[in-house]
Amino acid sequence: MKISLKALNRYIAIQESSTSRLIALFEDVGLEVKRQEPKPGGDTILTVELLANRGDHHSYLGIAHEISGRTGWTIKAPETTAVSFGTVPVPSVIEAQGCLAYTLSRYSLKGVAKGSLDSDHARMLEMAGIVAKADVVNISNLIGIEIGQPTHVFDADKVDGPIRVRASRPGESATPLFQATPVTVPENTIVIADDKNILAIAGVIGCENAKPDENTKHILFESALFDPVAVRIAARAIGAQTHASMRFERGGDPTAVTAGAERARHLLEKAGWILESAEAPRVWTHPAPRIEISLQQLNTYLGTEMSAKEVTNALSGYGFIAQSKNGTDGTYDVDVPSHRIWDVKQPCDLYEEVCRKKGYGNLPSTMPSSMPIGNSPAIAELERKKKIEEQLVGQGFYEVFIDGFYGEAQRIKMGRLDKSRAQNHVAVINSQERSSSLLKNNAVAQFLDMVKVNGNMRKGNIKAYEWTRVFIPDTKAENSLCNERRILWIGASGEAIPASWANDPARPADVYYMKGLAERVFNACSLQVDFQQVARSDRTSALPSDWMLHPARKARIVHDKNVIGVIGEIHPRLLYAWDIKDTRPVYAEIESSFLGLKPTPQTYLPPPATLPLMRDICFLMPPEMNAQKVVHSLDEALGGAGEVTIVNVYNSKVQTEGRDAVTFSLTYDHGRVKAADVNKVTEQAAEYTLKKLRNDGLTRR
Amino acid sequence: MNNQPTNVAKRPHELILKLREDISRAATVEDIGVLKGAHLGKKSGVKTLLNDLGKLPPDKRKAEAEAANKLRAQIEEELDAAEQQIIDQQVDRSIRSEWIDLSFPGKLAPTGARHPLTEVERHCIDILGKIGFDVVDGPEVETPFRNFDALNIPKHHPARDMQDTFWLENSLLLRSHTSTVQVRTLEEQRGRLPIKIISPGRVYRNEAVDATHLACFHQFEGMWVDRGVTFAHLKGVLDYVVSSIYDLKDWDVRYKPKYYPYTEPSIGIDVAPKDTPGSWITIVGAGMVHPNVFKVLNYDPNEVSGFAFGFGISRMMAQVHGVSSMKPLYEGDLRVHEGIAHKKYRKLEP
Repeated sequence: MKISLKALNRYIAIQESSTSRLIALFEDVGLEVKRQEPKPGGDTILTVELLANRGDHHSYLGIAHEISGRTGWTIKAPETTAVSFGTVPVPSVIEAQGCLAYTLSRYSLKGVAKGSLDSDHARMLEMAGIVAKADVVNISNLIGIEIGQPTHVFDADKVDGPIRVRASRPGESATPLFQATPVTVPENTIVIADDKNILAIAGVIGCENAKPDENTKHILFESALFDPVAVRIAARAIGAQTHASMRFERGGDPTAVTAGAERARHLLEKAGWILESAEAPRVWTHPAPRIEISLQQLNTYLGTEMSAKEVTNALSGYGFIAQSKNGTDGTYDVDVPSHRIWDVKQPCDLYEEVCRKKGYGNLPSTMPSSMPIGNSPAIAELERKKKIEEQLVGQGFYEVFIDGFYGEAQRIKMGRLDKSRAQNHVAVINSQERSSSLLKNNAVAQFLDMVKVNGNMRKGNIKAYEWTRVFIPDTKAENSLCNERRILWIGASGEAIPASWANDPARPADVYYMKGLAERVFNACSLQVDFQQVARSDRTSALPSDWMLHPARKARIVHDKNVIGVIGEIHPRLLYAWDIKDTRPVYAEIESSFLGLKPTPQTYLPPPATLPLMRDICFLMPPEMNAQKVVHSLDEALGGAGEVTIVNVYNSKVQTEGRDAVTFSLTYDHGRVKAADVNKVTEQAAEYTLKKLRNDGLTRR
Repeated sequence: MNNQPTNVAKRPHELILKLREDISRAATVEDIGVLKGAHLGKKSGVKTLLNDLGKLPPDKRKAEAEAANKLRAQIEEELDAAEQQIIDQQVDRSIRSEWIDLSFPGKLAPTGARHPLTEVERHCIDILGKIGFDVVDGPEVETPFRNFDALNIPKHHPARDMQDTFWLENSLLLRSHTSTVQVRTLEEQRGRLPIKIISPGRVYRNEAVDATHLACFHQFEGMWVDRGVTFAHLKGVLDYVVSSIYDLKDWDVRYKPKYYPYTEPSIGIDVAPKDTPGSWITIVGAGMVHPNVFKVLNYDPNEVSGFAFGFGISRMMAQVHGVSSMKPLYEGDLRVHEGIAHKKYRKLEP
């Protein structure tokens, strides 16, 4: 809301000359000043953000009351002329329960209309963006701005028959102000109607068919109160948020209904209009709400030692009337003023008033006496997380945050690889953006988006990770819709290790690099895992991203027989779908549940006192056979011969008969195997392995 | 060196002359090594002199021995000097040939970085962890009850405007704040006090995405519920947290009224650098848990009280790094992450 300080001074005797100190005061009472604009003539325009629950702040007088409650500065209520309700200007029927109070006054223009609004008023209307051609409309709008009571003016000559405040009927339509075409009014919306037309959507906006103009000679002036929820539903239904609806949605002031009519009379008569008749067919009769509070409970709740006088004075400053119940036990009945009946309902609301009066900065601050230190599993998991991140960050990875959803564009691309899996998403019903229409069931798609987008920015080297979650549709889930899988994904593309200026070439981020990284991650958590490559045709993985990886270049990460992750190169078809060229991105995904796994026991092995004895064995590997299988066999063969460690497995890249020659290096401890026996033990291990894996096609090189 | 050392003369003077002649032809350290063998080895002239000392009469032996030892020392010295000279020359040559251009940037596999928001989040977790707050996680797909109703936000409440919601099937939604975790914890922990939790996490708002609005962002909320928790305790804890993050020598702090449906009274904390007074930024929203929240979750607000708070970690991060828009930090643009993690030096004022 924009307010003019000069205009505000008409409603409260401001006794602070410094604008900055005045702004500090505003903010200390909950009126947050977002902007200030000095204007010629010594005025300053403030853009104020109002608290969402304080409908009474939506006016100059409301703000004045708030300031006065803190400072005691004198309120200057705008002039009014009493209206005597009782004569009937036009027959009116109040049918809708949501109409809480209603007055209607008929005025006629005698002679030529005179301007009744001054320059301050004009500025107030201008800042609110509601300057109308018809002066009577400006008067109506001004009343809303200055005292916070929305009012409405009908051209009486355009009203056909009695006024009815009723619920709309099925199929009814209306043409709200400033609209060229009618809109359908949802059934049961409170409307103001005559015999033929809907004249206004109650509490929201008037309609074109009874709009006053410069030629209007007779008006019906409405000042009313409507149910907040009814107004809110209506405003949303017809897509109109007006000053009136914002005010009513937050709950209007029942006493302001009459005040609005009386302020209108004062201004209209100054403008040459004569009141002919006025009626109040629905009157607010509810007594002021009363809340019982206890001084002791207030002080306990706030941790204060306020006196009764301090509390009652604070409350009375804001219009509350506190009366001691029996004069001794510190309990009070507090009557809530009419402008606060919607947001002050129980003792804690009154405590808030007392706090605001005192100023939150002036309230005591005490650390609780007992603060046990937590030692929860969550903190332990966080420590593990940190260790993992240290590994990743040390290797050049950046943590990123990506949205929890994506859109049809990603689904279509994924569908080029597997249409049925691409359908498996939770849909967002009401997304405002196409790009957020599906909850993501994998993080690969967004990683590929990253590769593509960064590539377009000439940023080809990608190293990124994210702790996130994916949403897997599952009608058997606890919420009958989906399971949330918490995951850590790690993606790399382009160079893993940069080239040196001294001719050392860069090393690309390949799947071995990613595997090494994953191994470090698990080592950082003291977790022993296996990387199990599965057959290319295998489609059994429950991990959502598994199917998006290269069938011949992926492995599952297994801990204690449970698959907890997957690692591999991105499926080539997805690279085509994303139009990613010249790079083979690699990806790892691990379920975050591994953070809570029990560490695998580890032990320190001192280095041998003597130089190790080493022997190499070279095998020709059959196609698609894992070297790890050979490692296991050799390990098995050597296991009983003492402490034997296999220290190196490397792919020589020597192609023999179309097969890879892989050399396995065996290291023996002197204490376990005598030097004279090393060759014999090695040969035995080789023979054992050959025999065991002969059917797989393993041969010696 | 082409020529091998010639036969060793027995006379010291000749030996020195011969040595110097050989040294003059030596070009490498290896050549000097050969000369050391020839002039100091078993078949060298000086060795012969030393070996022949026994044949001399005793009265001459001592003087000849001293002369021979002196000769050997001189040969060693001259060979060492020659070797050192060759080494020096080689090093000088290599230094000249090995010049490299150090105006090239350094080459080390670059480090990455945690997300700047994570850094702030972890800092806050550390601070609150010291006074016993535990980290609790919760689902992002939630029920309207936990996201709204349990938090004193009934249907058609204006507060629902503040957080337009992503709706899913089965009348579920994507949580619009992490207060849902507080509701879950209150549900699960009923009867077990105190509850002291923080719940950082991702939340969603169904807004058209622009420079200042994100559909998905992070919140950091916490709650302390127990018997006898007061508003003064809320202030005490927040004062501790704020003073742990901001050096109060350099920052002004103020409290102000706020409105949240699930707390009453509700407050905000602003900070402003002392050198730019008035430039307040709200970093905390907090308040006493509303009695209606306790009631709907079957707690007796006359028995139990508590406070809840949320940190504006995005704003804190923006203050730390001078970032004006959060949007690039949610788009995976690694140039932005690199820029924040490895900031460029500003030119120093002359």
